[in-house]
Amino acid sequence: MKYSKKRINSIWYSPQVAAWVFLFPSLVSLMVFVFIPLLTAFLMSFFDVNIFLSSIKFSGFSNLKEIAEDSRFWNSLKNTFQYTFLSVLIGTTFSLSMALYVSKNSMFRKLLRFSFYAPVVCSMTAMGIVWSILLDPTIGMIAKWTQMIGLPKMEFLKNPDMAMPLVVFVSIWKTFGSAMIIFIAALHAIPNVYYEAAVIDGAGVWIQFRKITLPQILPVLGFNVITSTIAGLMVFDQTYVMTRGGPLFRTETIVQYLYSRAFSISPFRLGYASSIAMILFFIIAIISVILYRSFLKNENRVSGNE
Amino acid sequence: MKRILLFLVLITCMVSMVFAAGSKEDVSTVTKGTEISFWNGFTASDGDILREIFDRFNAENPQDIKVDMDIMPWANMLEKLAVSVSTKTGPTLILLGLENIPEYSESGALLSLNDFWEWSGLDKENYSPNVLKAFQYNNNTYGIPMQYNSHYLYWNKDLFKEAGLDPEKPPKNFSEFIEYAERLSDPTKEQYGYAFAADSAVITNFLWSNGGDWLTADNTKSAINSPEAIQVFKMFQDFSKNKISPTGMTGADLDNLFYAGKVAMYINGPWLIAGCREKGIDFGIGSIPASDSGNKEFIGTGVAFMITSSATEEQKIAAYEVIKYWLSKDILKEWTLRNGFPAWSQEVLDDPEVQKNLIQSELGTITQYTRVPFEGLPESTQILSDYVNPILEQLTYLKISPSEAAEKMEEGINKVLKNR
Amino acid sequence: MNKMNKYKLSIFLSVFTMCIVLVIVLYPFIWLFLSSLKFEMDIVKFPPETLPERLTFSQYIRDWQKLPLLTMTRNTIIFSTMTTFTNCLLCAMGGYAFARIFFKGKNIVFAFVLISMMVPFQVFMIPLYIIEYKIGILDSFLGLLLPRLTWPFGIYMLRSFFGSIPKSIEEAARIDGANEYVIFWRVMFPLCIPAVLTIGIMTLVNNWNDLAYPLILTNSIQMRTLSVGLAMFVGQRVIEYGPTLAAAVVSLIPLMIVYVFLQKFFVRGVVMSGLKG
Repeated sequence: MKYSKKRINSIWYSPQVAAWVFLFPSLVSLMVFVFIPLLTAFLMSFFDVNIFLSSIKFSGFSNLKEIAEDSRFWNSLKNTFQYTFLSVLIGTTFSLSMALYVSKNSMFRKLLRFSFYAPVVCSMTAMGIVWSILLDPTIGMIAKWTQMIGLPKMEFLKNPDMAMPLVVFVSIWKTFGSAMIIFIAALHAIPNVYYEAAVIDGAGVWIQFRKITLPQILPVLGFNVITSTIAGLMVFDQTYVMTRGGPLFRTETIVQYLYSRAFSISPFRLGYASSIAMILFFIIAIISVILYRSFLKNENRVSGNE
Repeated sequence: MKRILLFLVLITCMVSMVFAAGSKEDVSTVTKGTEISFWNGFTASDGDILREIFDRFNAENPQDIKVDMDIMPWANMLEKLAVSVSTKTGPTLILLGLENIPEYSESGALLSLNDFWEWSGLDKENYSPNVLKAFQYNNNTYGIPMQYNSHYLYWNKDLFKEAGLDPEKPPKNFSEFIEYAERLSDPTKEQYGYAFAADSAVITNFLWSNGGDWLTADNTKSAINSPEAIQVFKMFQDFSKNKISPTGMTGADLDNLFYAGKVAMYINGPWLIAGCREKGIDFGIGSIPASDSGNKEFIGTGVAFMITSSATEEQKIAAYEVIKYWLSKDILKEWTLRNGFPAWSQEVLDDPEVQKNLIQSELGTITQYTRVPFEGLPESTQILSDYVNPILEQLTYLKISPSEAAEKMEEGINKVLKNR
Repeated sequence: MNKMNKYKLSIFLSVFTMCIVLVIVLYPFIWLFLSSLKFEMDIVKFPPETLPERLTFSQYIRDWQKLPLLTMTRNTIIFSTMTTFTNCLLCAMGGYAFARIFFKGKNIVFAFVLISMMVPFQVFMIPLYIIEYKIGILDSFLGLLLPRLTWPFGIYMLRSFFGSIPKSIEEAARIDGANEYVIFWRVMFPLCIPAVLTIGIMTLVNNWNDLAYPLILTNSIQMRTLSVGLAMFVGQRVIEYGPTLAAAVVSLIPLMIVYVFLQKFFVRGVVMSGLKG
């Protein structure tokens, strides 16, 4: 009796089993409610099917062939890359700079820290509407101020060249707070002694940053870059609320395009949209792996863990 | 003997007819207390009126039908509708723009409503034939009109006075329209003479009045590459070029500009009326300018009641009761007077209150000149989204010439139609 | 003296820059709040003003009349807080397992977790609807909760944080004879509380504000959340800005309050965390 109980216990308490116990609920939820729907969606990319599920015909790779010749798809791909590149580069740099300034403890900086996270807390839909009104070329506050300081009248979101940078700006405004908080946590983890030693050795602020701060936060930097890249490639809400993909399709992203193919434009081709989603998925996966590798190599060197 | 036989046969016939009629009654009257779900996209203030009307229906209808109304933004409703119908979890009754009737009925999502008129006993002659025809598809009825409207010319009377124009005399034809628009524009004050969004709907009014059309009469080929169309395209491009209209605005943006008093003339549906009153704009409303030769033909659009294939026979009959309630004089009149949408039922048009209402009597006269664009064509939304509207946008951004625009549209439209 | 001036100048510049950033960050909120107290015609008038000429609560009253605010708030609270709890727990457990335990198939399972993060909701929402329909949990709290029990982003992030805890702490616990569960619960988890709190507030905010997800999986206004309320004034051609802005403020305030409280807790935790190692 005791013998078998001990056996069971040793199995239960073994690291292997414990790991699975820890992961079990997450995996079940993800499997049933995310992975299986994903698989279904990908399978649909080989079919000609509409959202009514009324006619389901196998079509093989014809969807993919059609996508290759779809100029609007390539346009949305270009826009998505433009958005991602700008928002990751500028966003990460900005949130890191803010984190560096704000991580020290003073009243002023605590106030800043608190305020900078505020945009994260509100809904993108609500703030998208707010920014759209503020950026209206005629009745928006920003138009009023730019004209007050003597700039010519600008069309902001209605200008095909200005639209995307503005969307990126609003997006960064909304999200830099959360990347910043994560950076702050990482910055606080760097022992002060390193900096003290550097000051004694006469190293300037920039050298301290390059040689101490940057290597120490590299894993977190990698994390922020990867997650914001994935989010950027999948962007939908920002452009949907503020520009609907215009003007002249200059802010139409991949997800926006596939959404319109499936839900807004007849004949509501769910199969075609799923093919686009599949392509997007591979793009995201490949880019993530590349980014992961370039940050992971360094991660090993630093912490000696994992 | 023969007489008795004859008499018996007659009696039998009469009795069986009564029974037959009686059983027909049983099938097509609703069970008391049936509940039906009703989806629509009437967010904003007209949704409030709708809710009020249906709360009253729920409380007062003698068959105790309960309508469970779910209002959500149209985009979300379309997301849910298709998949819910295909899993039989869909609503019984929906409201949907009539342009969706062709493709939704093709996909099997809708029940045929061919027996509605007979069942309801309503006088079909009372309702505008123009309007009823607009909701037909392939000679079948899949949608019963809930509201119908055209586009109308709105003008800001104060701005007219400032420019030295008679506020009671809107432009009557294209030439006057262009002239007024130029006089009413003032870039230094950010004032626009006539503002429009790059959407095919508004342009259709001018296109038709000028004698052009999107498709040939049998809906098989494009007819857009014509001098009449190019004239209209040029007129609109000039509006953008000369800063008579702002570029790239959506309908909602333009509504705001009009409310802010920055737009002198504007063409839109009836929903602007309530907003103008609320914002205190001294506005005039009337018919869109006709062509210089006096021809007028305007766009008609509307929202229809439809019953989805998720409905049981019971629920379908209950929905019929709801639709019949809506088509009554009182309700249609209420919708017209409170919400501003023109009447298309003769008894409402004849009602003294409606006739006294200056706006409604004006709008009521325009309905006869309207028809629905791309009538009965399932590919209409595809043509508009993929080709017509984007090319119109390029036109207003001065990226292509009017004749290029017409050519490209023709190419696109024919491409879509070829795949039919 | 020159060095002193340079130093003062740099302080001045940095404070000045930060103030500008602060204004840019906060102005939309100020505008939102003030505009929710304006009459509709003052919100979209020309020339625009930030300050209201006259105040009114009519927008909020309109919200109250048109929306079942209490029901929606209740639903939003239930949905967001429950998913926050489960997320914190499951992400911590999952992150720990990936970071500290070597088990067979680990890389494949982790790849699987990451993959679920790489596809936007719009792509799989229709199959999700069908699956929930087949299981029978459409239009219910369970239906909203189960797909969001965990969050791949959270698992990924906590894996990083657990990964950065030195092995020595773990080994000490093992030598004392503690098993995996005790190590996790008593030793590791407390060390990562700030990170877990971050995930918590992120989940809370995301689910509180989510529109598409609850809308497609629920069928009745009784099950709807506050984010839907926001969309209710945005018609296809008519947008009632006043009530929309007021609804945005109403939806924002509870989150702000929670954020203020958690914030103090969180900052203290970050400063004192044993991550300094």
